[in-house]
Amino acid sequence: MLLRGLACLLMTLFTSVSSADWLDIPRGKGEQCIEPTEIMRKQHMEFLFHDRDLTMREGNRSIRHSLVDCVECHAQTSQQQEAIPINASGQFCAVCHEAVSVKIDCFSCHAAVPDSSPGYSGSMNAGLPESVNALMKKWAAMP
Amino acid sequence: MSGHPENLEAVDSNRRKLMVAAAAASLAGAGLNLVELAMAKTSSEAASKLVRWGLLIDTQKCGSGCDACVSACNAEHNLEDLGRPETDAQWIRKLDLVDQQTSHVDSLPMLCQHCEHPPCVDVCPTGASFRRDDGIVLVDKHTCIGCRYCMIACPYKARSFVHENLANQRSWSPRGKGIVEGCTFCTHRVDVGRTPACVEACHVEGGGAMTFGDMMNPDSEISLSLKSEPSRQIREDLKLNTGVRYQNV
Ligand code: SF4
Ligand code: SF4
Repeated sequence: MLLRGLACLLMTLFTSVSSADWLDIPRGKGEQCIEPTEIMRKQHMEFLFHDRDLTMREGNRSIRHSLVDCVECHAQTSQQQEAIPINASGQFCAVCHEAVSVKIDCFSCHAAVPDSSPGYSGSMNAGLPESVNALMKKWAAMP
Repeated sequence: MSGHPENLEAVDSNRRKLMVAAAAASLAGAGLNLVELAMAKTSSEAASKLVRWGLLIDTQKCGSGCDACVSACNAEHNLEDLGRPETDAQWIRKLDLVDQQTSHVDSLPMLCQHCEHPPCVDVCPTGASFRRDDGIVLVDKHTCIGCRYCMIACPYKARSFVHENLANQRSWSPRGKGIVEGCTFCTHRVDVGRTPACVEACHVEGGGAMTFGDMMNPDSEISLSLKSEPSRQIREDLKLNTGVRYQNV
């Protein structure tokens, strides 16, 4: 009886956690996440673990589950138009992680705000003098 | 000195095997040949064993006062100057070699040499130090425990240890306290068909001393230069078969 009571209590707890309606989670920029929300909630770490190895060990840059993309879509901007770190209190990552007391270690190394460096996100070799641009393009075409 | 043809042959000891494999593949009617196989990868492809990235540096064109490559690297990866030169991260640095007899000065950039037989990988207890299929030697920062064995093993002092908490990391260059790091040959650029930041800067602001490319492709600019002109590896006696080669030192 006691056991059944405990199980019931746990179930209620889990349902409320997994529905997460009671948490105020900031919305992402896009219409829809790359995976269904229920799956993302439980498995985001597995996706990230799998795909990071593809990029780092093999150099595949077109992975589906990228932490950079999470930050790109889910990081908020303050009223002063400044990017707020995604792990700051009340922000997308922090809301759930604080609720369930799970520490996030990602952002001691990874950027917690979207990157806006024009040199990188802009077109290939943008801003280089034409002679150098031609040389770099030639090397790129002829590895 | 590694200017003669047999040394180009030795650019990668796997190369002969690969050529044989490629020849066998085309004989087998698979329609493959080495040139096709060694084409630049697209951003979604894995790094290929048929490519070996290399850098050739002509020290005659490298000015003693010039540090365009160093500044470009620091900016690209946000290696901030924390005012502590003994411990500040340094992925590429300028060295002036002075001949004691003649006072002649050779200036050159020193960076991870992306060794074919990297001592840093040999000593790493966790498997964090590894060599990618295309020859780029990296640290898997998720696995590194910060023991710094690799820093001691590296003959070129090419790696740095991060001693304090960092902020403002670049999205393409995660870095953090307690982890060893070094030149990545700008994999984030190379993987999408660009050249490393230092090479670009050397051609824009510096003396145009750097040539970057695939040492396994016999027609690439770097292979042609290596074949026709003398060059050397620093500490060639160690037989690490470095991916960075120097001219006129
Ligand atoms: S230069 Fe040093 S860090 Fe780079 S691959 Fe060789 S041993 Fe490793
Ligand atoms: S510091 Fe990291 S990469 Fe270097 S040997 Fe130790 S575990 Fe390997």
